Amino acid sequence: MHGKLAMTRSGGTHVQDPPMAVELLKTIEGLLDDQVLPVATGPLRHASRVAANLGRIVGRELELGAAQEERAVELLRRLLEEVADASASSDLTTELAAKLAAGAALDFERRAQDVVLEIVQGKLAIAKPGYDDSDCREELES
Amino acid sequence: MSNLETVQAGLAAFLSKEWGRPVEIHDLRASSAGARRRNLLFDAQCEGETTRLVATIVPPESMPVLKVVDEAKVIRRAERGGVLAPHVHGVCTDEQFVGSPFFLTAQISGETVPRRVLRLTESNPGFGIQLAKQCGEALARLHALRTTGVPGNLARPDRVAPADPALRTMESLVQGLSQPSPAFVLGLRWLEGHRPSPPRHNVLLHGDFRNGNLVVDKKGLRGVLDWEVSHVGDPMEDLSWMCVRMWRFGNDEQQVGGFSGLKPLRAAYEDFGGEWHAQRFHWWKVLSTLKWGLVLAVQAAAYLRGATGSIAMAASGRRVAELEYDTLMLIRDPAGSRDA
Repeated sequence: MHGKLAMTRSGGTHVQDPPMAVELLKTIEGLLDDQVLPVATGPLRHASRVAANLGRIVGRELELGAAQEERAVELLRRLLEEVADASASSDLTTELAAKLAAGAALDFERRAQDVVLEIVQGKLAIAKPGYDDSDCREELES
Repeated sequence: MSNLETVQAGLAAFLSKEWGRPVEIHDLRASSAGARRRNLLFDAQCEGETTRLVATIVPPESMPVLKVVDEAKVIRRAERGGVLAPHVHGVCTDEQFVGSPFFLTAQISGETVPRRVLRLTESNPGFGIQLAKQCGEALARLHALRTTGVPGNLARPDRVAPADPALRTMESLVQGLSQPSPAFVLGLRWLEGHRPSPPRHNVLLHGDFRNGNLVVDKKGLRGVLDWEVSHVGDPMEDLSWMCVRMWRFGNDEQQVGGFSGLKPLRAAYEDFGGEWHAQRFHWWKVLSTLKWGLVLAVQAAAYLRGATGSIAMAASGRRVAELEYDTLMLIRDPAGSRDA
């Protein structure tokens, strides 16, 4: 990794002294959950709850984010048949959105749907684990 | 004087003028409901009689879809039509009283916080089904009202298919996203490819009829609040909006507000004269889901450009994936192409 510090399993960099980033986040979450929330009321209580949840999201992103970015790039490059390997997932996502908006072939659209679903499920694994447990079958009832 | 004291004095002055007798305001307090507007609960005392009221104050910085005068007209029309809308006691556009336009409605006792509503339904078997039926009845009554005479900015020529302008709004929001969303583009493509036939009539819609804007007590539905986005359109828009996943508050298997399956809602809607259309219902459900995802993305963008410092707005960005997932689940099946 040229010019970058290697990430450890706990989401910190080797150059920093412990506690690592994930551990620090857990400390902040603990403060919010155990000390702030029991006494906070009204809008501050709601904001504290949101803050504790954002801490958990950032913690999961530190652990899973790099692998997820790698997987998204792999899926998108295969779908878009990209030959250069320098693209970040955000560039490839922009390219895919533009291609779909311009009106892609049905077969491509179907393959895109599978790829997009896997990437969205990856985002949910960080933002809201378990949200995709429901396959929403009842949606077909109308 | 604190802001609340100023408002208290302003409300007393307004009501004294309206009623032609001296009015005192007591027990003024903020309601938990209403994210953009201030809803203040209070008792108005006049010659020994107490009237429990709510003042809905629209701050100048918020841009309501409806002006307070028009919202009050819609609420009155709904109440006359037998919908459980709160009785309107007054409308004030003169900003000298409380600093912003406002209207006054009767307080309705009961729960509005969605999780508390769900606790009521969970503690009483069959209550969720009853509530869904009452929602079906309320919407059928609302949709049966004549749209002639509704405020001008609500009107839409009856021949215009409401799906078209709604779709154009979604297209423009998707194009404006700072981070493109292939999931939402797929949703948009599906909506374009499955555009439904227009309803027989465009009707008066509540626009935000869902768990959170309903007042519920142990006996059932007591009131329908928050009419600020009321407009004229496809009745299936109102029915699908209350059934999208984000308004189930975790009770995902209960499609109607997290408290009931769909059948009781549909049966009651039809019993009270409503005409259900499965294809249009599904189409509007996809659009509603996409719309909420775009609202969340817009909220996060507002936070990022410094328009708001709210942590909840920042967090909205990380909720977009939920709506992307829901959109993909809704369009994956040919259900939308079925006919009723």
